[in-house]
Amino acid sequence: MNRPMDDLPERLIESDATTFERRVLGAALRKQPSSAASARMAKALGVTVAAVGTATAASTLAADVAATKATAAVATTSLWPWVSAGVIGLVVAGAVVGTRSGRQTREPHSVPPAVTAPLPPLSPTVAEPTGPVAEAPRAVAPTQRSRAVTTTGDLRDQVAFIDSARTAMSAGSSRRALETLRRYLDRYPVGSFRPEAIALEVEALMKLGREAEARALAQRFVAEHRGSLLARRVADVAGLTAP
Amino acid sequence: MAAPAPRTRPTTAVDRVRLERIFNAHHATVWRALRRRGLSADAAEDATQETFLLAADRLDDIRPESEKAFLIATALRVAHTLGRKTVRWELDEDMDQRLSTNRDASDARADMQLCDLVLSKVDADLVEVFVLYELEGLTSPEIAELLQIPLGSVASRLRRAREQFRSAAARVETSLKKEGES
Repeated sequence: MNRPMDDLPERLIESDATTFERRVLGAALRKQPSSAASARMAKALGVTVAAVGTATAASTLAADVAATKATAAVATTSLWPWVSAGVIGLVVAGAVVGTRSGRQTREPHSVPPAVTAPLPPLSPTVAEPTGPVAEAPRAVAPTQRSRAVTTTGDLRDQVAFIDSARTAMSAGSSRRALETLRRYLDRYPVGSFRPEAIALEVEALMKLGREAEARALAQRFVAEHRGSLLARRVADVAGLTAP
Repeated sequence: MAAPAPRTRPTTAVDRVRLERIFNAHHATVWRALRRRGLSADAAEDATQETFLLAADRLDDIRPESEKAFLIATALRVAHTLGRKTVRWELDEDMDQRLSTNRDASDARADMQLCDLVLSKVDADLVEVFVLYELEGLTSPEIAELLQIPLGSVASRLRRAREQFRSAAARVETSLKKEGES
């Protein structure tokens, strides 16, 4: 994570912490619920827990550089199946209700975690979104918010954009995917799926051979999402050093 | 903690997409925040679940850039309703540390105990700001809103917390070195 836009100093772990201080702070960041607990919570909420297996996956402040590099080293080099699996899977799925799991259903602590569900078939009902085409260079982060809240209708439209881009990507049309993603990013400068869209954009640019553009975008993305699973995957796709 | 009664939540598919993204990004942070409030692992799990259920109800009101702050604030309110009003650092006996391959389990456990030890030496009214800023990555306005204190207080508490943290870390490190030499 970058230095926040406020008047506080840079975070210790990112600045002048001693080795021992980093060790202590890193240990604090490694505290996480068990994999089984994460799976239970996700199940109760009707969502799918991401395949997370490292100490830093859920942390926005990566403390253990070695662990991060090790994770990045085994990351896949393709983004879109990972980005789209949850989006499409949930769009085509039937109603899932958030029921809570009681302790009596608790699995033994050593049970392996649930992982991402298989990629379901594409939804035939996802319509190609329409919107103004804009090719002007953009900043990764929006400079201002265009609205205070996101409506459900907006989210449906956003999902349609992302699905459309993924469909284009899977069909080998990176250019069409790129156009779709840029329409999305222009229409929703603070959209809920902006990180996923930019991640896909990086991959599309790489596939189009526009590597310098892709790497520049990836560097800004990684700087803004340092420590996130998506940032590591973007770095991997763009051939950057792991964040 | 007894399991709450099951309840259904008629979220739309797009809501679930966002909920899933938020859950995967922040549930460990929320769980950590609750554990630091003194909740047991089981209670923290229930409270984390409750936090995300509350978030699911208000997805449209949560600004994308404030998701983590919203979740932590909600989690702390949930903890408060459970009667946990003070920060209390606890050692985790059942925590899955999800160790990276280059770390030994006992080393990591020892590091976490050191972490608990050092942080326990920071004043209770300061450690919360320290944790929210240094570990959870919130901004000072977010912390000020969360704790209902002025921005200036956030900065001053952080400064004092850092001094105490660094002093405690240095003492512990020195102590460890002496033990190693003896």
